[in-house]
Amino acid sequence: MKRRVLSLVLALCMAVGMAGCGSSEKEKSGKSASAEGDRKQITMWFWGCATPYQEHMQKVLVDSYNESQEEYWLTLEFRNTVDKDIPVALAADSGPDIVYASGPSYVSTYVQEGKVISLDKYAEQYGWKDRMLGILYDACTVDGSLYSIPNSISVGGIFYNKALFEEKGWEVPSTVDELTAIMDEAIKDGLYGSLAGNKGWKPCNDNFSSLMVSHFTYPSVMYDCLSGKTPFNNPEMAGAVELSKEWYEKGYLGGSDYTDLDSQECMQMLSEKKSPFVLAPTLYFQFAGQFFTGDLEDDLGFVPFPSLQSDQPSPVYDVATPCNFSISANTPYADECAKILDTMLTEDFLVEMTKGWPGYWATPLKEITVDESSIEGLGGEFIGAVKEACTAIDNGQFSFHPTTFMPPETQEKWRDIDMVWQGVMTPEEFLDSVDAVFPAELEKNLVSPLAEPARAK
Amino acid sequence: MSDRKSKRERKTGYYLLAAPAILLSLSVVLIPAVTTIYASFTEWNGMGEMKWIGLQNFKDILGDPIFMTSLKNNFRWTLIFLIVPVTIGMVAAVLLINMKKTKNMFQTFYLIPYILAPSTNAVIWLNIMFSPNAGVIGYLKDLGLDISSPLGNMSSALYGVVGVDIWHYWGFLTVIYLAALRQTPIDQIESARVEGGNAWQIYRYIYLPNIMPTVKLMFVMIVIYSFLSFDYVYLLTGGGPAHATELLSTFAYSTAFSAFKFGRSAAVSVVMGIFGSVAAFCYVWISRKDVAE
Repeated sequence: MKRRVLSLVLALCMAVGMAGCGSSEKEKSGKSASAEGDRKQITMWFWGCATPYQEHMQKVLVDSYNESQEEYWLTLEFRNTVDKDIPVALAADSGPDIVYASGPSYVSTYVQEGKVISLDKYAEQYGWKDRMLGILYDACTVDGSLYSIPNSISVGGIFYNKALFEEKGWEVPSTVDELTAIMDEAIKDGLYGSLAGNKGWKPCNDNFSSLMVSHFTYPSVMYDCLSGKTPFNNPEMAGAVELSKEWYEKGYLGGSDYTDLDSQECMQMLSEKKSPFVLAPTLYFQFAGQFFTGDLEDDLGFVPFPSLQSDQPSPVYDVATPCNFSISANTPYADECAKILDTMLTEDFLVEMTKGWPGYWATPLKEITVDESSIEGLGGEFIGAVKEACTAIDNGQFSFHPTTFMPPETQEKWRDIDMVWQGVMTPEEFLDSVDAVFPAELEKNLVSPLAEPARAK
Repeated sequence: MSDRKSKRERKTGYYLLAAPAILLSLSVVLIPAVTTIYASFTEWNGMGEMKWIGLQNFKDILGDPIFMTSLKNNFRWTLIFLIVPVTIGMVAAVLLINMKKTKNMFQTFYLIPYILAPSTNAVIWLNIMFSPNAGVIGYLKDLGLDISSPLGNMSSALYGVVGVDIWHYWGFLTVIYLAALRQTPIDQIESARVEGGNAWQIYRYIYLPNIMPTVKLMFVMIVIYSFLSFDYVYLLTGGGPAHATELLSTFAYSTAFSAFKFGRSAAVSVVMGIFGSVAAFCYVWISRKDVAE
């Protein structure tokens, strides 16, 4: 009998313990908790960026918002596995109030399942459509409704080391021939032709493939493919992919170290003059900020990537957004979340974030009026590059970065372009594999609406 | 009558004591397992409703060359793991068994990679060994040697990752084998020595039969571990270059969280589970046979 009582007590303890775990989880979700006084808690998740950047974001976004009013309390969590955590949390009807996504393609899946709400009301209230660059505004819509806002615009181009150029007597390249001539010379001198790598982050493949495909053929080719007008396996696209393979084989993408270099190392080695170039999106300014410091600060330059097509209005920029934000269908504070998103869509936010985190927060505004020379360090160079790009993009001189404009499975297949570079597949086989999955995703409405780029003259 | 009652009461008590553990096991093992098996027959994006599509996911993965590459890599991985760390671990354990004073020190030393987090080990190897910028490879390159990281080459990448995993795992095997060797009855060893048995004969006819249950158990555990391997591939290469190091686990992960094909990912997981179950079944069968003998 004693044993029976003991076992009952133990079982009860276990049950209470488990129930206790449940209640603390509920508190963590913060829907009804008032961790900071009596304020209503709004939660937001973000990827696990470097600590100084976390501190800067906390200061510029979170602290300033929490100090600006007394009704709500914004909590920002940095998670290294945010891309996995968000869908899992949303599947359980949980997660943060402001939903992070690594591109609009993620959001379209959330929209399909009713996990995030339409932002049309807020877009009208705050005039977002008039303020945001059309190509990215459209990319964030599903069936004509806005469901997310992009944090930034990122465009591909060429980072170069000005000091090395001066030493070697090189001119900044304005054609593909000039670019390859410098890379050949650099390789001959024992340097890397250019630095590139996907160590630790396979999606880096997209940065380089996008840059090359966007400039080796017309931007309208990618537009026609993504619109479903032509299959990906067409002669122009196959030719561009083939040329990208030739570049890889010639060592123009990090030589034999492509898989052993990450973005940070590329910028570090550029600062150490181990190569004249890093071919990458403006996003890489954030890595440059750690190495082009002090006397080296003025050594970094950025220019657009030249197009192979002489009749194409140039420069052409392949457009991406590093991430975007939606509002959870579960939040009781949607209006307040929209207010927070609105502060992120301002020039003030761009400037303040760029001061401490250059490269990641180029708010995609149609009009950027800030004088870049008034911003110290790489932030000024970055804003200058973005302003130039935004003007060109507004004139239709853009192409489509896979990470932002391709639906999930197509993106995953496109990312396998390194199978072509490694000689496992032919360009045609690779494009066939993309064609095998794209039509179904197009039919499911998982492709973002596309603005049409300027056609060749 | 009262005997029967007290027996029943005792049984109820046992059941109640075991209930929390059983409930916990059901929640974290059985329910997810059944859900995964069910999901493998559905089209599911991880969030919405599951749509029953029968065997379609299995047909899709069988027609996917990346799945076949992953499967082959898993077999190669298992084979390498059954040979290399087992041999190193056994040799090290046999060498250690006769060391009196330094045995414990070596054991601790060998275990260090095993107790470090995989992410720490991966960072060590990526940045200190394989990095062409700052690592040993970079240093050798600066000296003029034509050398590059094994992870960058299609033909050597898998061996590079397996090598790192073996580096982290063999010390653990050494400690396990050493613990088993120490259980060998001393009288058997001494009798063999008295009868003039050499080191090899003592190992072959005394130690090995004694530690055979441990060897068999570790054999099965290695097979299961190999089919579940994920961390080192994910951290060192992400399955690349060009899927050269892709395993079933990393393939399942990217299928789920990048392509949002959770149904297909579940099908891959079921295949992984089948191999693990076969290994576990073999172990149970061998154990029963041993007990019967």
